[in-house]
Amino acid sequence: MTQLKIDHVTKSIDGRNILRIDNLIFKNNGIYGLVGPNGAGKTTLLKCVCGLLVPNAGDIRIDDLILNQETRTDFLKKIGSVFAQSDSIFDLSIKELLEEHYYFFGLTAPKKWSTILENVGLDVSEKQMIGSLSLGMRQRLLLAVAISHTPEILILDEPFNGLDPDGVVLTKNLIEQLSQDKIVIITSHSFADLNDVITDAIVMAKGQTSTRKTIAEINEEFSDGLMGFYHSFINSVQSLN
Amino acid sequence: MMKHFNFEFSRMKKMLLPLGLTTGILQLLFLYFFALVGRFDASDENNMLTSYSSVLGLATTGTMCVLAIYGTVMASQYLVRDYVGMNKSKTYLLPISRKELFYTKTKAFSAVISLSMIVGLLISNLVFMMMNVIIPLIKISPLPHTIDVVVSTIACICLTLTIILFSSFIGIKLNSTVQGIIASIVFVVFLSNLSAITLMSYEFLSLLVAIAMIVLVTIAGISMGRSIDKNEAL
Repeated sequence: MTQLKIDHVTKSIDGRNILRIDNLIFKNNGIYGLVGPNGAGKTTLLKCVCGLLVPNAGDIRIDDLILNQETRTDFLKKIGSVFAQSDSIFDLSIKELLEEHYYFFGLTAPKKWSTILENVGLDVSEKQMIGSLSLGMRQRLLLAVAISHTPEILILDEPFNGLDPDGVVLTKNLIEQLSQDKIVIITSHSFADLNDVITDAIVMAKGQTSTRKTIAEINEEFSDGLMGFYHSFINSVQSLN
Repeated sequence: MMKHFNFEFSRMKKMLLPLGLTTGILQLLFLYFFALVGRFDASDENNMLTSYSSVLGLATTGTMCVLAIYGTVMASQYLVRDYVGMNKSKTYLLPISRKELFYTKTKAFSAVISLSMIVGLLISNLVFMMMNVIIPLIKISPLPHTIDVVVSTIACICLTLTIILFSSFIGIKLNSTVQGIIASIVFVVFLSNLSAITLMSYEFLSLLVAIAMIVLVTIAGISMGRSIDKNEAL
């Protein structure tokens, strides 16, 4: 059973405290929604988990493996992620992007890349340049890439951005299927979409996290569900500062 | 390591033909331009252009200047861009030592540049020598001038590679592909005179300088790799 533990992690950038997390545990078979206003530290936290940012203090571990410069490669093999799209992929064809991913993750390339694309409802030629795809199609492609090495942890930063209604439904279904034996962490500002898929929610504000609550607990405690939980935590952080 | 090199090389090899063709055409054009200037302009200042070594030195410098900038534009697409802005995240998420990946990409890129330049320079110089037998423009002594061609080719490749790599490292350090290209233009302005003078008159000195530059750029590359290993993708 995979566990992702974030223990007393702090991160400051240019003298500003961005993250102050006491303790967070994510377990598999869970779909965790990380919500919070812009600048709350959601992406910073996810980047710390992926080794893209180095915390000033604290530990991030997957089971017994503590993230550091030496273990970063092993850590990354366990993670699949979709972050904001980089323009370096725009000049690549779909095939080139998949080939690179499969090569570095040590995977055997399938006979036809179209099977990988069909999993995320993409009906395009593998020769098509990524720059010519729509934002939603690129999101689907990046999701296909993120799940291709069957990671233990799936990190999705704003996965519903730019998706058409069919794309949103497909992504939600995929997330539900994938969560069977994985930890899925999603950030999104779309509470309606999150409500449909997540099992637990954590609110972030000013680098701090709320206690984790299940959707059932949230609905029981707050009359307006996730929105109530969100405002309640943000108000409490603001009153403390 | 070699496996990674082969993979990166295979992704970059589409640059071989355009770079090789550009090198060959430029070198041939510069050789004919300077040879014709020397032949038809009899003034004292252009007297040196009646010597093949001088024409070769100037033509090679011209080719180096253009290729250094063109190569840096290529490097910004195939190397620098993976290490600037949001693209860093994509590169750093690959499960391979960042340092090792950077060295592999740099080596593969250098191999592509060197290979295309060797072929382009040698073929164009050979074509010029053979055409000179049919339509003589300048006096060429086969053996000493063949050595000149080999020395100037090595020096040109080393200097071009040095400018491209230094400019690329500056681009990565300053987090901008444009800054890298600007750096290459500045380097070309400063190094072209030095290159022209040494290639025309002190070929072996230019070779020594070029090799020293390669050593310097290698040290800079090693230091860049270490800094990338500790770098963050904000």
